[in-house]
Amino acid sequence: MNDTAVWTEKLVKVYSDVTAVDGLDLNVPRGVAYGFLGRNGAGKSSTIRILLGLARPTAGRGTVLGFPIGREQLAILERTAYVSESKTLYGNLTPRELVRFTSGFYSSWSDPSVKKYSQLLEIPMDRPFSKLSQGNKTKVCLLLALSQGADLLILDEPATGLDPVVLDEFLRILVQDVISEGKTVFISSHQLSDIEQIADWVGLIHHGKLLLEARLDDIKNQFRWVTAAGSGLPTKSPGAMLVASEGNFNKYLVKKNADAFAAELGRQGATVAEVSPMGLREIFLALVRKEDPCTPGNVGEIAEAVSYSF
Amino acid sequence: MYAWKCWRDSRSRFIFFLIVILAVCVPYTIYAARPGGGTGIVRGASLSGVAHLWSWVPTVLLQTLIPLIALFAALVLAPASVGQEYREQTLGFLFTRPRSRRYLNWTCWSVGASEILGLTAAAVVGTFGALICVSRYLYSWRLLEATLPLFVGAAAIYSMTYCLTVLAGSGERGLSYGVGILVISFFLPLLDVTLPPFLSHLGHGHLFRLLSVLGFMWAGCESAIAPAGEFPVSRLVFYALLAVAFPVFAQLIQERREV
Repeated sequence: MNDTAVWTEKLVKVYSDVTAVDGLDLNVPRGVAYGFLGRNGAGKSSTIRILLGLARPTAGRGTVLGFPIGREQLAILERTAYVSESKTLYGNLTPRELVRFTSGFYSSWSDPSVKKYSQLLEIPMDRPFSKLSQGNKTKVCLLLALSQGADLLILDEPATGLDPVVLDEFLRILVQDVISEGKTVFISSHQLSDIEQIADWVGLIHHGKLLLEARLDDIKNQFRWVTAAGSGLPTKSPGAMLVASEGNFNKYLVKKNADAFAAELGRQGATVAEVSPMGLREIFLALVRKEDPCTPGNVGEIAEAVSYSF
Repeated sequence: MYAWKCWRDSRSRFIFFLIVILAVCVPYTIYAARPGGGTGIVRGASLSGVAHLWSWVPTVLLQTLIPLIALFAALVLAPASVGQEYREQTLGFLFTRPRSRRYLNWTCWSVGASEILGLTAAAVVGTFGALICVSRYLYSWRLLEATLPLFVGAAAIYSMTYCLTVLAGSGERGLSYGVGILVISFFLPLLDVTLPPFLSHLGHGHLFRLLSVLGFMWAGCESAIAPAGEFPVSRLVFYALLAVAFPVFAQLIQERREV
């Protein structure tokens, strides 16, 4: 567990009649950028709140940077920077005052980082936080997180309100100044293209359950679309799921050994029209739609319940 | 740093009440005790025998106005900082700083309690100071004894409202509940409710009379404070315990609160 930044086992969080997190097993290695993906209400923010001690788990356990959740929370908070989804800070304080306020909590605080990032992100340091635009509010939250000198950055929808130029600059900072320093970045986001740009690992959560956790490169190298035509094609096959079926054409998502799967289809008399690589967005949509047959845009038929954890 | 932030949140209210207290205590004392002002004051002489003075300064000012100001100050200062956290929804930010919730709770409470202490001290020092200036007589007043009941009474109200704010998760609701409880306690004697012995200090306007101890002391009316004519130690201890118990309760709520 010491080489993991975040580890959870059978983590459960129930809010009255809603199960926000449902037996979540996370393994986030140290020193990587981990994209934590999921739809709205999938359980991302609830998971993050549990990791930071803002909510208590109903069941299960976990560690952050080797410290048990709940028991050694101050040790976790000392080493973890957090940007919340809501980006709310004290409205009557200016960014400069917020820096002053926050710096008092951390022994590893870096004033040079404040200077550097406030200039890079073009933050107006002397306007009250409540008077800032949403983008500037996000920048201030990021500035505070980046200047803490934390070993782990937990960023919940960090790109909110950022224009493409600033977003690009921020992602560059994350890669060059944070990840390259051996620190861990745990990003929860809907922006799959941004995650794809920087993430080494991804975890996909849906209805509180982890559907997929793997290296992004492994996913890209192994996940394939297989499109085949023919009659009597299988609706079930190990490691593959039927995503769409129209007329004689079936479209499968294959998690590995796509060529072998295509050859098997060929032996069954099918004509394999295409074996093509998949992007993160396509994988995300395919897995989520498989779990949610009623998701808008889903025309597929559930073929198989597959665990995609490697 | 959190204390600094709490002070920032509440300083305008503190300064407002400080100005009100000084504006009430000093001019009124000088006016009431001025030579020829009907109080029969003599420069350089003790005021203890000046009968008129007691009918003006202590009874009107110290027994009524200052307790009222202290009461309002306690009610208004209590939700200032902690209520701000709820209103701006910044608890998520605050609780992810590496400090225990116990520390944050007591820091926030302490800043407000210090402001209450400052206001009560200002009331006593302002009033006594003005009298000294007017009479040119240096009194051996029991300043601590004069300040303590006012502070403890106000601190109990402050702590109760602070705790209610935390419990309700809203400064506005905490203030409303605090006012509601004070109004109920004010009318409690009319309801002819018999309180258990350990809660007897809650009834019959004892809290307000505790706040008025300063005035009673001035008037030489210790007998009005307690039936035995002694300094109200048991009442003081009761309200001091309340003043400490409420933030302890608030801490327990904060430590269990999910954000």
